[in-house]
Amino acid sequence: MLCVAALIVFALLGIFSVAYRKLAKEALDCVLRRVSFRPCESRFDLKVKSQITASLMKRSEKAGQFFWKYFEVFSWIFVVLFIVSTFYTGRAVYNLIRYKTCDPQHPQNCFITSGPGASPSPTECPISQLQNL
Amino acid sequence: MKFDVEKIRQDFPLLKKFLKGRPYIYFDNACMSLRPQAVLNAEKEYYEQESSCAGRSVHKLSEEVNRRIEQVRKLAARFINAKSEKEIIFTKNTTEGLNIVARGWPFNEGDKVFITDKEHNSNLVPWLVLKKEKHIILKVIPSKSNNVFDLETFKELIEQERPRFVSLGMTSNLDGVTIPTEEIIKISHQYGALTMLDAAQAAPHQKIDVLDLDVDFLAFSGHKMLGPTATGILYGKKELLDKLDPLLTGGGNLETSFYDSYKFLGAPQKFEAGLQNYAGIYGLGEAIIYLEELGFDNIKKQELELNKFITEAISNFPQVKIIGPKDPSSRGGIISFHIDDFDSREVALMFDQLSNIAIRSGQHCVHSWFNHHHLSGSARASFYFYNTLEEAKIFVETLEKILKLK
Repeated sequence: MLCVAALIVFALLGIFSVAYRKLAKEALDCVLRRVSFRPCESRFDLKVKSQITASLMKRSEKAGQFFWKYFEVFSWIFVVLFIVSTFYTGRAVYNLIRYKTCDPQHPQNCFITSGPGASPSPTECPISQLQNL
Repeated sequence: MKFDVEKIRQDFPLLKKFLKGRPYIYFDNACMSLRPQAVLNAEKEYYEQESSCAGRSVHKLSEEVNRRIEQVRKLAARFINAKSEKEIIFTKNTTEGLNIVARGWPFNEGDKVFITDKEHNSNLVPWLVLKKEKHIILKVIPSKSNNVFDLETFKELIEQERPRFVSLGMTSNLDGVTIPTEEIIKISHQYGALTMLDAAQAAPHQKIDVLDLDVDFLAFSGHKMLGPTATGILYGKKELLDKLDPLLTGGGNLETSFYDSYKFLGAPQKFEAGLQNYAGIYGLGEAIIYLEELGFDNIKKQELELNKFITEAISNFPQVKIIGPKDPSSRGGIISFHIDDFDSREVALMFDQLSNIAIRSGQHCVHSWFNHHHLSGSARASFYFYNTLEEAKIFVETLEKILKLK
């Protein structure tokens, strides 16, 4: 399942680097096989699974065994989280462009436009404040 | 020569390598062996000191390369006890050697060729191509249930079918089993069949005597016996090589050519068209010297010790199934296994990730056997004389950890 998220990530990174295009192609092959109910022949999933399991096992064998057993569940959780976060990020970017804040209902919640280092809104522009003086 | 594995290991740069604080354990020797420094130096020497063409120019450099290449040819002839160095052809690998014979022999429609059910694709597909192109008849000899060569069935079949050619893998890369070569060749000749051996997995591990065996053709690779990649040898009896057409034609294998005709040189040059892998051949010579000094008795002993240790340990895990006979002495330096509920690639990746152990996974270019037995693949550990018992212990410990994953 991990290959779905990997496809999107590596496809985007692949715009800038050839190295990621190969990984994107591998992930695409895996996705196509998944949707046609065939086993994924790419080693992508296996590589990720074994790398994470091995590094967990070096710290705790039990943790590694748990991850190995529930790898597919972890993959699903990761993909769902990835899709949800992509949706919210997309919406925030749209709002930022359209309304100059990522949260038009509660602008104070948008850390980009209301945080300590945030760029001031047009009404708070220091130049206009100077002009008012 | 005294066999001191720790001292020997110092000759191999890759065995001194550490990855993430752990030594590298190389158990993929059936695919390719490591190279000692002497082989690497020989290759470097060609490029640094003598880089030029052999057999074409008259200058000193060319003469020296020519001398060295012919010296290696003599070494190779001695290595397999060939009657003459003219029977030694330099190739890229075993695959090329087998193809030279399969494609170059004057087969006719209906000629029968025997192979076994465990052949590497290199000794299967060339015959399948001939079946399609020249309509030869290909007969596959089934092995016994424990994957050992069935001599009785072979005798029956050869008497019935009277093949023109018997082409067999001497030692299987699938399970390490060596066939009873001498008897097979004797029987084949009794019934008028020519014989060819794919010795890719045999030449690095056992003494081969082509005169004693009386084999007609024999091919092996350099890269599995300490030599550089893209090096190999095809042996053929002189009188048979004369009847064989070359696979490639061009520079170096012609006596002369006209606009409407050509004349080939004799063997071995007839089969060595184009500029050769001189650096590789230099390295191959050093590899042969190294193996001869070490002695095949020492090599076999070390491999068997490791295989025995691992086989014994594996027998405690019922979910691990060994391919081939249970007795490690029948499998040389190879242990091929599959584990219930595990993909062989998962197993190989975990060995690599957990302990830097390099093993092979998949179908090992013997797809036909795996397809026939409905198996997706196996994990294969293959040893060479530089592997140690300590490494074998790490292998078993890692296997235990992997088995706990399910």
